[in-house]
Formats: sequence, structure tokens, C-alpha cells
Amino acid sequence: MLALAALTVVFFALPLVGLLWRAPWSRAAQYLTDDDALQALRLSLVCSLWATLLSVLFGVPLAWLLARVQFPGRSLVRSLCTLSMVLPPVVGGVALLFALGRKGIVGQWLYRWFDYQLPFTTAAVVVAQTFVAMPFLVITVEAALRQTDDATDDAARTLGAGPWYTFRRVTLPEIRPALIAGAVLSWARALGEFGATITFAGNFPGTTQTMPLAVYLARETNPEQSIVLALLMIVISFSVLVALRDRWFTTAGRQR
Amino acid sequence: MSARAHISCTLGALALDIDLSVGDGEVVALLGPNGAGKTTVLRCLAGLQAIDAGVIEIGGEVVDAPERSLFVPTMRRRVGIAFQHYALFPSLTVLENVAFGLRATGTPRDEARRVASEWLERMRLSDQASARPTALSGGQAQRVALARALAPGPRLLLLDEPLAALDATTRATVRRELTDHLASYAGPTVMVTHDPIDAAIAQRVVVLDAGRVEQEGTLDEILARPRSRYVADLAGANLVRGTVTGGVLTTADGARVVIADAPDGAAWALIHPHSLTLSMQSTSTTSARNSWPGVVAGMHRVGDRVRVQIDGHLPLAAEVTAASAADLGLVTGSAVVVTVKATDIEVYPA
Repeated sequence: MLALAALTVVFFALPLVGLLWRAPWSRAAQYLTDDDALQALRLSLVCSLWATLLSVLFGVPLAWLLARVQFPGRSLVRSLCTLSMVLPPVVGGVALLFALGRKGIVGQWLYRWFDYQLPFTTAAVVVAQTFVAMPFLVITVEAALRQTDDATDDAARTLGAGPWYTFRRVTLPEIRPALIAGAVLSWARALGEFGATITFAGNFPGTTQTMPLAVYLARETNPEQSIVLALLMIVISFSVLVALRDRWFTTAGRQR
Repeated sequence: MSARAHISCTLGALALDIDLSVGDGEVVALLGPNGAGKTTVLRCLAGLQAIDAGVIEIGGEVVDAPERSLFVPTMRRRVGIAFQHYALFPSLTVLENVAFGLRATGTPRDEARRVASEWLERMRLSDQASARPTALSGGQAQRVALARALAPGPRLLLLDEPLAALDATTRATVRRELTDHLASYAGPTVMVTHDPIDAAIAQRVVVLDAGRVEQEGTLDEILARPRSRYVADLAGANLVRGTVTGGVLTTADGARVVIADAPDGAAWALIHPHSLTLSMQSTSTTSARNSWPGVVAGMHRVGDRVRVQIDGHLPLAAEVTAASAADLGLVTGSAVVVTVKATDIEVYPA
């Protein structure tokens, strides 16, 4: 048992050690301040934060619907809305193209009426990231909403509170830990998003080339830089994990 | 204000159909076993459950009348509920909990907090104003729940098993306080309980069973003349239903009980356990008119007395002193003869 567990730890630690071992420490600062790298980093942060914001904005009402409203086909809707979690991201990207691309089911009308095409723009990066990241928020928040006491909702109604007031004053504070955990999970997923982004938004430096794409590309043209960028992403992800370590699994659902 | 309701509503296996009317300042207890529909009545009154037929009128306003397609939603009914498990808002302080109803209906913050503080003072909870509900004891939480329900000035107060979640020690104290607080509330109160001691808070008790009103009256009246096994069990008495013909009551099972005079017809016979006499064999010389053989099915001690459950043609519970149980050598499985005087049996029409 112990030996297997130790082996598993090695399995997770080894790739990191490999990166650290090969990292060009003397030129790290130079690679990091490189214009392309900074651009990719900035784009990654901006897009992933937008994706997180959209996930919260649209994911919380969806989670509420799934947790609180009884309707036929609810589990089907839940599966549909969380499908992108298990879908290969590339498949998601292709599907987005068929929906919102210039010839897509909705995209063609956007193009015809507004002369607008979404794919291969920065907005497309945000859409692709939101598509794959939002289910993490929905699932976390839905679980928290299921654990809240229905009686408190009833109590709020008998006290004259409307649904919005009840949500703001009673429900939201109760699910806040889960909301934060879900938002961070979504953000981490958006930050690391690769497949759907490259398929749906392409790989244009400055417009759609996010960090993961830059790492992948630099691996061929400039392996040393790719190692430094990869390490930077690890540092960012790792800090999030550490910052959340107390509330991650234990309190994702409920605070007390 | 007062409240009147004819509630008809089917929910799963429960078919609720009752008439209920509560006057101003009156406290009515809904008493009944689990699943009788007590809590559903409260939910219908509060608008948390729509009725299928009938009408609900609170403070002169019709709030639910399916025949007229009229339904006033919960948030506009001005009905206060203290829930069984209090349902306090965990992320708000005690003061914010009590102020919630006023804030939700547009009272300015300072005014709402001032009124809430007054309520906390009345409930002797001022020192807990900034505490979270999770830090409260059961009795304190119950008072916060009551203050929260009363603060916005409801037209009807509903209490769902207000004392059930409390331990025995705090229960008596909270029961006394609750009685005082209810006395100072001017509107009608409906309280759900399954405990006759708690029902004593109410001026009138409505016994519910399987969605119907089985009996109505003061607690003493109800316990003195039970009309259901449930109430008879609460009163600790044997209740037999049958038909009286010429001074003999015959049960559906064919058991015969000789009674003192009572008019012919369907009737209840109430036999107090302490009026039963137990002996080990048939006693020929007794003035008692009723004498039935039986077998002791179980015994348990209540204070200095022993309650003996007897199986036979007419299953009965008898109560004897611990000393006489020992003298008789009563054990589970003993064959006994139960005797009771006809004059000790109270008979009233069903």
C-alpha cells in the first residue's frame, strides 16, 4: 500500500522535477520578459478572468435551476450542461465552430446580419474557455445549493422576501465558500484550456495565443522558453492550490 | 383579524379535508399522529402549499380560493411561522434574523434594527444580538425563531412543533415562556404538536387523523372523552368502540362489555387501567359484571405502579401497584382474569 502510494507521489512529482532540472535558470528572466511571453501571459489572464466571470454570471442561475426547480428532463439538462467536462476539448472546439462559426447554425446569421464572425478572435478564446470551465462551477454550486435547508427559503418567503432578496441575503451567503471554490476551479480550467481554444480561436499571437498555446508552440521553436513558460504556469496553478488547500475539498460544500 | 379555512388538498397518500377557524388572541393546537396532515395544514395556511378546493381567509382577506382562481403568494400573506427546526438564516446574526422580515418589506435599516432589538429585549436575548444562530442553544434559537416571525406583525402566527426539538429540561421553561409570548400576541395562532402537554398551551385542541378532524374541544374535554385510539393512548386509557344493545356493548370482534345504563346505538366505552382488577383464576364471588380471561403480553413500570398489557378477546391495559403485581407473581405469559365493574366504564355515543 505504502509503496504504491509513494510511487504515485513520484509519478506526480517527476514531471515537475524534470522541468526544474532542465530549466535554463540563467536566462529565465529574459524569457519571461520577452514580449511574446508577456503578451501570452496577459491574454491568458484576461481571457481566463472573463471566462470565470461569465461562468459565475451564467453558471449560478443554472446551478440554482438544477438544484431547486423540479422539471421533466432535469438530469438530461444537467448532463448536457456538464458534458464539456468529459468531452475532449478539441471536440468541444469543433462543435463550437459548427455552432458559432461563419457557417455554423447560429454563426451564419451573426455573419449575415451583423457581418460579425466570432471564431479566431479574442472573444472566441473567452467563449471556448467558458464552454469548458463553467461546468466546474455549476457542479460545485449545485451541490452546495442542494445542501442548504429548503426551510430557510420558506422562512424568507413567509417574512415577505421576494425570490431575489432571498437569494441575495440568505442563499448567496450560505453558498459563498462553494461559489469561491467553483470559481477558482473554473478559472484554473480556463487558464489551462488548450484544445477548444486552438480549434475554435486559433493560435494568433496577441489575439488568441494564450499561455498553453505559447508553451506548446515554443516547444518546437524555442524549447528553453517553453520550459520557463511551463514553470510559470505551474507556479500560478500551484499557488492557487495552496491558497485553497483548507477550503478545497473539506468546505467546498458547506462552511460549518 | 382571525383566520378561517376550509382546506381540501391531496398530497401523495394524504387526503386533507378540514375546517378550521381561529379567533383573535386564540391559540388552537393541531394534535395528531405523524402523517395526520398537521404540518400540511400550516403550509396551506402560509401559502407554501396551494389547496385543491376550499377557501382560506386571513384577517378578513381571502388568500386562497381555487374556485375563484385566487391565490395570494406566501410573501404577501403576512403569516409568521416558527419552523420545527427554526430554519434561522445561518449567515445572518441573530439581530439580522429578527430584522429580516421588516427589511424584506421595505422598512429602513435603522428602524428595522430598532424594532428587532426591542424584540430581542422582550425575549431576553439582547446579549446574543450579534451572535450567529449556530452559537445558540435550542431554547434561544426557538425564541429567535418566534421573535423573527412576530417582528413584522403577522396577521396569523403558525408554530410547527415549537417544543419538539428541545430536551426535557429546557422544554418546561420554554413552554412557560411561549405561553406568555402567545398571550401578548393579539392575532390568531395555530400550533402543531403531537404532545398533549404542549397542547395544553392552546385554548382549543383539534385532533387530526388521516387528514380529517376527529375531535375538537379543550384539552381536558378531549382527554376525558377520547374518540380515537390515538387520544386514548395519550390519555393512557383503554378505548373500546362498539354497539350498545340493552346495557351490553358488543365490539366488532364480538367481545361483550356489560355497562351501566346507556342508550342503544354506536358508542365508545372508556375503561381506565386502574379500574381493572387482575386475578390468577376465575373468581366466582365478585360484584363485578365483567370478567374476561387473558394472557399478560407485557409489563412496564410507571412510578410505583405497573402497567400490564393483556392479550385476550378484548385487549386491555391494566394498572396495578408494584406490590400487588409481585404478590400475584405476574410475569409475561401469565394467564389472568380481568374484572371490571360496569359502573367504572364510561360510555358515550360515537
